[in-house]
Amino acid sequence: MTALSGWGRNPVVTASGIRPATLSAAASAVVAAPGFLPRGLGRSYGDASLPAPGTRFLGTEFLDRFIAFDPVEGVLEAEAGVSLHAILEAVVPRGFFLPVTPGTRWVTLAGAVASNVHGKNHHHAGSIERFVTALEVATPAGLFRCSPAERPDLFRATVGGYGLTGLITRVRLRLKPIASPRLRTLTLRARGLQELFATFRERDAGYEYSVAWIDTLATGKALGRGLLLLGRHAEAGDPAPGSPNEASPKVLFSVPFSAPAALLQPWALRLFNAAYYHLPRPAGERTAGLGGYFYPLDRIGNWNRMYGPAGFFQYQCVLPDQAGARAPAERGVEACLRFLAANGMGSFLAVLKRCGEDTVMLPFCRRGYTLALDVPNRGTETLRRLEELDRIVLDFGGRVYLTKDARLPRETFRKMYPEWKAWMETVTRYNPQGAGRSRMSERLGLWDA
Amino acid sequence: MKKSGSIVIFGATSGIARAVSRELAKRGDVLVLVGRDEAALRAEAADLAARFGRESRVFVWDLLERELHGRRFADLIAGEAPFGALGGVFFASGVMPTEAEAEASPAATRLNFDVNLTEPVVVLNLFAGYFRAQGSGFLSVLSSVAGDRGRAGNKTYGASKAGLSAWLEGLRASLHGTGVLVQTVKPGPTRTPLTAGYKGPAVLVAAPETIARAVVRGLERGRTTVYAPPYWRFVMGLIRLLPESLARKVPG
Ligand SMILES: Cc1cc2nc3c(=O)[nH]c(=O)nc-3n(C[C@H](O)[C@H](O)[C@H](O)COP(=O)(O)OP(=O)(O)OC[C@H]3O[C@@H](n4cnc5c(N)ncnc54)[C@H](O)[C@@H]3O)c2cc1C
Ligand SMILES: NC(=O)c1ccc[n+]([C@@H]2O[C@H](COP(=O)([O-])OP(=O)(O)OC[C@H]3O[C@@H](n4cnc5c(N)ncnc54)[C@H](OP(=O)(O)O)[C@@H]3O)[C@@H](O)[C@H]2O)c1
Repeated sequence: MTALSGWGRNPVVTASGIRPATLSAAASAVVAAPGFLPRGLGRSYGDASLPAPGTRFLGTEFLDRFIAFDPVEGVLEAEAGVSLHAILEAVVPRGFFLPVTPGTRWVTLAGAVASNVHGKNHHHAGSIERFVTALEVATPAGLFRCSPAERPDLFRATVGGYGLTGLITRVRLRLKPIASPRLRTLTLRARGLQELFATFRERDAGYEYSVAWIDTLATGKALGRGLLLLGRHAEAGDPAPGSPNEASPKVLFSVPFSAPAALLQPWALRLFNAAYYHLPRPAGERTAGLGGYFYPLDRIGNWNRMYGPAGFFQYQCVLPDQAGARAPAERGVEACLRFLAANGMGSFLAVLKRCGEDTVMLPFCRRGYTLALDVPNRGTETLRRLEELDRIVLDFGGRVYLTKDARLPRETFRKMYPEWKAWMETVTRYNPQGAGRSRMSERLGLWDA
Repeated sequence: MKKSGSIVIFGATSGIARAVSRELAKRGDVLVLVGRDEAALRAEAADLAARFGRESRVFVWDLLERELHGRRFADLIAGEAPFGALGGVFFASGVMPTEAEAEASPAATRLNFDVNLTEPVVVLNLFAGYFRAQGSGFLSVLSSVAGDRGRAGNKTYGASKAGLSAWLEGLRASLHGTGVLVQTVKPGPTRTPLTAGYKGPAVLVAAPETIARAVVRGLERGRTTVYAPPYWRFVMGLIRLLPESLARKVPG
């Protein structure tokens, strides 16, 4: 038995499991004796990667081989457990980058597919679903290849399917050619929410990547003040001063053990947020390495321990532009921020990104904005607050990102994701006994479909 | 250490060997991947090709087909001839039965000594002769911290590793002054399929990449004994000083 948790260190469960040494061993384990939940690097925050009682985990740690790389087309085929870190190490020197990347390089390729991850370019590029050209999936019903054209039902139920159709064994991914391993970045300060939205609208056409950091403790006219961090890949001719190529970034320091809760007092958060906002920022475009822009948190090892032994929740929601209404996404963001500020729910990291549309069976991203924040776990009080936040999100037609979630109530989930039944019908075609259940799947009542 | 010449990875499917191959291929070394399962070796070769654009040779050689060692060795050398001399051997094959298995099964006990000690010595002798004649090359062999002291929890495995370490020490003495490096690698617990049943504290378990970096650094610096991670040298140094009556009480 091993103690397991997601990145939020909450909840913690004990489970037994296996770590097969080869793809064939892994595939035959799933097909011969269903009852395994796949687990990658455990970077989902909540209970998506945690086995329910009676289920064992199948760790993909040793399924970490590249299968083939075509440096002309930029197509990579790899085993499930290859990390994005390993991919970057191999492909950046050869002029390619991930077409979509989450904010950490310590996730597995299949884990990224199973959550249909999005990056800072979602409004231009979409989620990883658009770049996955083929998968191999070991389901309780057998081993299948699938793609948008071949068994599209399995494909669309497995991408963003949180491991419930079975184990993704291989992934084929179309990479993005880049002319330089560097970025051109621009940081803009916005004194309030309207200014932030206006800056997003005006500036991010010229930049493929955008993300805003927001001071969630600011109120009144300063509500929603923050920094907009824009980026685009440098062109071959762009100035390339001494900024290092961060193919292998250094961890600056590691949090050695769970921090005492005092670190997270409101005054500390207020101080941090104000300092971050006011810190002098260079004007104009700068050249930066890939790591500093895409993976700033990877420089701090085990930063999740900062939230102390009780762990934390990450709350990420999307607020969509609904047909007809005038900028309701912006109004939804504003409503959420008012709620957070009014309740003193500060976060070291509250980020706002623009979204396009996902097309998988259980889509998270909708055209609009997505807001994400860390919330220390203070028990029922925290749960109650987040449920109030759920109601605001629902009022604006939004939904909560499941790969970050550990607490969404079943009824709220069903309202947010009306697609869930159709998705689970497809899941149970390939997994008829409902084998290999995650804690999340039971919490959300997915098997009742 | 001589950088030219291919490097033979014996037991190339092992978790530690896979990390070592990647570290060497990243540096630009050409590898011959040796093991008993051809499909599995091809998967490793494909990995190195896709990651680093490096082609490796695959060579099937089963450690337990003992009558074939001479022929396999000759074939490997002949196949390598067009590419020049061998630069070195990294040896990783090994098994780790639980004590319960070893005590209950004579076959498991014998297999432990065959795979961890007898056949490696036979095979490494062939390569040692080759490198001695060539006047250069290295033999880097995975022994274990488990060979540094006899312990209740792994007396069978530990004995085979102790034997291997002693043999390597003797080989080193016999090759002294010939230009051949004999390197004994002693990893602590490492996350590979071998330790699937490991129950000890997780912080003591190293990543195979950590072992691989220590091995390659050791080769570059000509180190004869490499503890990996390095703090095991200190820990085992202390444990070796303990009288048996006390050593018995150290947990693990
Ligand atoms: C600092 C940080 C920043 C992040 N930023 C972003 C972001 O910007 N955008 C974003 O979208 N996400 C983001 N995430 C979330 C993360 O990208 C996802 O949770 C991702 O799925 C984690 O991958 P993993 O390998 O750790 O998978 P795990 O957490 O181990 O598993 C996640 C899910 O994938 C399933 N799974 C894993 N492997 C397989 C497999 N082989 N076959 C089938 N199912 C499998 C599991 O069952 C589980 O349901 C971030 C996380 C962190 C910690
Ligand atoms: N992992 C640790 O904690 C640790 C610590 C100290 C020392 N070591 C030593 O390091 C070496 C590699 O260990 P590892 O952790 O990488 O182990 P591993 O992943 O289990 O690999 C074992 C290797 O030995 C081969 N092998 C096993 N049985 C065999 C047999 N009967 N005939 C021929 N080959 C056989 C395997 O080949 P197949 O793939 O064909 O089965 C594989 O290449 C071993 O000598 C081990 O004792 C390991």
